Amino acid sequence: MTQWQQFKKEYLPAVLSKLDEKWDVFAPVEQEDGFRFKQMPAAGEVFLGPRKPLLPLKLLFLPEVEELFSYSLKGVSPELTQAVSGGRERVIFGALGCDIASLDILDRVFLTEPVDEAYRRRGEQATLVALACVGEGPECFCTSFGIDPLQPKGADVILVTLANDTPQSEKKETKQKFCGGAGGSFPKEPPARRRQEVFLLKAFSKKGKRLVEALRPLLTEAPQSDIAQLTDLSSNSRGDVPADSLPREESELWDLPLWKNLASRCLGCGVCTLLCPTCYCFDVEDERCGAAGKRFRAWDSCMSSCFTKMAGGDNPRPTKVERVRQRFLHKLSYYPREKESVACVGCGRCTVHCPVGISIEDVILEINRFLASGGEGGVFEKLPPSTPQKTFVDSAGQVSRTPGGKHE
Amino acid sequence: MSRALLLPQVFKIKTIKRLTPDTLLYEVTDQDGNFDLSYRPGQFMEVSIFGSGECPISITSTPSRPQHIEFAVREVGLVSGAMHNLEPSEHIGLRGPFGNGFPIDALKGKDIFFIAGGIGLAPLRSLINYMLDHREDFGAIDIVYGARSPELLCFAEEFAAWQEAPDTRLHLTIDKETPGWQGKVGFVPAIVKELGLPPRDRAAIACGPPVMIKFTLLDLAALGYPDEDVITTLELKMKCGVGKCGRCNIGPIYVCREGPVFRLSELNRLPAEY
Ligand SMILES: Cc1cc2nc3c(=O)[nH]c(=O)nc-3n(C[C@H](O)[C@H](O)[C@H](O)COP(=O)(O)OP(=O)(O)OC[C@H]3O[C@@H](n4cnc5c(N)ncnc54)[C@H](O)[C@@H]3O)c2cc1C
Ligand code: SF4
Ligand code: SF4
Ligand code: FES
Repeated sequence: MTQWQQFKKEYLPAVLSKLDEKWDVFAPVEQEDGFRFKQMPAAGEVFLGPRKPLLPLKLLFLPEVEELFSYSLKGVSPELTQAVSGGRERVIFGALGCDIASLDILDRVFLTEPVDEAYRRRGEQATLVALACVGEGPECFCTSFGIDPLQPKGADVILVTLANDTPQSEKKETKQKFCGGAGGSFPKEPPARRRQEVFLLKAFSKKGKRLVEALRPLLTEAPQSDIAQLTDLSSNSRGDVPADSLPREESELWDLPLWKNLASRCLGCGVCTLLCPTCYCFDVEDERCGAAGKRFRAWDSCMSSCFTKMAGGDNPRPTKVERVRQRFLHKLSYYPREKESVACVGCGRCTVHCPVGISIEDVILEINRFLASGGEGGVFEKLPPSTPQKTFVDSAGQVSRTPGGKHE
Repeated sequence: MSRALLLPQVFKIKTIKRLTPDTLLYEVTDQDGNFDLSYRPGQFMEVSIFGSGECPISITSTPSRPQHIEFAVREVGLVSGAMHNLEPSEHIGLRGPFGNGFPIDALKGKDIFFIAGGIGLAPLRSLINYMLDHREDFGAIDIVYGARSPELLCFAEEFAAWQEAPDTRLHLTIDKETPGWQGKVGFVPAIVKELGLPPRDRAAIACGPPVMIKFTLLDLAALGYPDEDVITTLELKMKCGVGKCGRCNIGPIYVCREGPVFRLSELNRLPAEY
């Protein structure tokens, strides 16, 4: 079954409960506390669309707080019990390309020697069902990093929603075309009008085949007319943010006036790093209650003032200038030098949620501009205090470039 | 199943000795009374006090005396404080050894100039005793060691053995004149300058508080030591010890992984953020 299969939208509950027989299913849902991945979602609450959960996918692989082991101090010597991340295998249903690509960035840290076994096991046990992202979020620039939001590398299954009654030919000019992956191109047919919403899906890995196989009773072969529509899908992610052209030697980027400008606005709240799918710094702490306790690790942020502060008060990064520089240079210089990839997938979460509108995209553009101008003028010095790239989130969670406005 | 990355192994404290008013020396064994672990001088371990946490501590013993492993711990905060409350026969957790350690092979045949201040002697002691146990492999050894006052000098019990070792000199110094003090008086960098040991075929290995290091490096440069022959160990905040938690980087390198021992020539290539 490596052909495109399909199921109608009303079959989604059946699909989810079928998966639930074998796997723990996680999918994005709209809840009172926001849009996020949830285990065992009710079919009605699952939202499959081009919208990013607030917390990135990394939380299913590197949890916000993760018990490492527990201990008992009752006996002669402490007894340690290693935490087991056991249980059933998982299906992550409806993850977007940026988040899936971020796992590759985390893999290069946690799967290199010494391997982080808990992380490795979670990856091994996860089947990723990617939702082809036809998103037009103004914050999105994943394609700048070579990510294909329609058919992300690393996905086990690709799921495509074909929208209701949309004359496909009216689609805007595209930057990214669905290319049909390993199987080559699709036959062209005149675009048809859809009556019914359907999901198309296709396996792209062994794990993916297993999943599609399990769903077989609910699937039918997709008709050529539907498959033909895939070529018209497109994403509006901006592919022209020049992150790869930056010098990787930090000495060339160390003294940019930009860092001081950013530091003067940054609040050091750490939101940018906690919401970032590729940030992985963690803290390790103990929690003791009487004769028992546990050690856990938890997400941490290099933007925090005590991140590098040592006993006695010495701190190699005493001000926000050093901390802001660390955040960006880790992504754009240190990580790329070691791991051959920029540590950003262009999801734009940091930009959307930074309370003072600091945008990594602006930072990349401004560094490029500064270096191209031979280091003339202070980077950002000509920009107003709040950058024109600011994005807004309305009460429904929609992102736009203007307050309360719809993005064009 | 392979061992989890951040899971320590439990060891028993065999003895605890007071080195200075705020520093204790712990001898650790496994359940069978010995310690089966290979390590290099200059490496460190993550020491766990269950209920308080974990912190990186240099191995101060030498692998050339394999019957035990030792840590010298100064009380400065949560974990080190909890460790000071432990009694012999109580337990700690250990992970490691981590880090690169001293470049022993490259030091063979050279004269060695050790320069230490306060607790900074702990990692150097591992190498000093290693060299004394392989005396014929190394040239002349000079050790400058200083502290604020005589009772703050660690490892005083070993000074006699070091002084008596062949072609080895120990130059002790304290900050201020004290009645009964036989050694030198003055800051460590001043003694380094005063000794004026020429750099020919000699490596300088320094560890101590940041100000001491700063001035010592200037004096060594003035004496003509090339940056390749000046070695120091760095202390940065750490959590994992294995290059994953993202805590201890200086630019593109992680001190827990590429360090904590660096040649000055290597440090010069890094941004000055330590
Ligand atoms: C490679 C290396 C070797 C060291 N060797 C020794 C030694 O032999 N003897 C000794 O007494 N001290 C040594 N230190 C310093 C020792 O690690 C700190 O004094 C200790 O971490 C303080 O922990 P605390 O919980 O008592 O203090 P807190 O201020 O309560 O620190 C909380 C946590 O922050 C981290 N942390 C705080 N300060 C430091 C620091 N200076 N370095 C690293 N992590 C820190 C630790 O994870 C610690 O558990 C070494 C440090 C490094 C990096
Ligand atoms: S740096 Fe910002 S845009 Fe890049 S991956 Fe992280 S949150 Fe997304
Ligand atoms: S979200 Fe914005 S204000 Fe908060 S730490 Fe990040 S850059 Fe600074
Ligand atoms: S201590 Fe975690 S990266 Fe060095």
